Amino acid sequence: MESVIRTLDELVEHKIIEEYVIGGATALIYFSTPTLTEDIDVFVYMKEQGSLVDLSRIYGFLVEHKGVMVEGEYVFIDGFPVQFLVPYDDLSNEAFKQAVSAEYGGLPVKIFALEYLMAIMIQLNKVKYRERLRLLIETRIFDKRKLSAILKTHGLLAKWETLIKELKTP
Amino acid sequence: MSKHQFNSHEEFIRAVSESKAKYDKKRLQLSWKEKLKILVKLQQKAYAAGKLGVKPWPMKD
Repeated sequence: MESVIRTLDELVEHKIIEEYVIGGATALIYFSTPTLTEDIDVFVYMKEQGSLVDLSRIYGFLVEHKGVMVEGEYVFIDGFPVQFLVPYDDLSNEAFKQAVSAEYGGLPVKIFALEYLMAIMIQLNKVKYRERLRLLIETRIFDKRKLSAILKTHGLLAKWETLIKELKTP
Repeated sequence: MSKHQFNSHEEFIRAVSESKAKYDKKRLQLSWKEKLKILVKLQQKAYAAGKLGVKPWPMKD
């Protein structure tokens, strides 16, 4: 995992990307209990980022300089499947900008804040996310006011209120 | 191993919930690295059962 972070840092150093933030379940695990995932979601910001983003510069650099394997949507960095993503809407853009600092094995890394990870799961409402959200409700580790504010901004409050009732029903 | 007798189903459910809460609390206190090591164990089980699309992560100690 350290090698993944070092490789991502190299992408920044070589100006292939401007910045990166770890999202998805890998970031969620930082705050919560371990939950099954197969990849590491890495959100990137590239300088010429417009509506159409070309990630081939990242793949090209990694294949040429790091000898990585690209298979389907994953880039295997030292055996770890990494999926590069770009923030795709207002919520994910805000999550990217409001990323928080974390540390892995002494290496600093930015990750999505817990309440943004929750908001994204509420927005996408996949079956696997419902179980993760239920666990988060049980452990009460998130900032309710912060989550409510994010959900209100992005028109997700009603969805959350419906979801919370369903998740609390045995 | 001692067996605990429960007086009711509700008592049993409460005991299970309390035990799970303690287990979750312990897991929450682990470092990110330690939690990811647990994730790899979950991946290994899922992979063996054919429920994971990629090989488990090659986590090092």
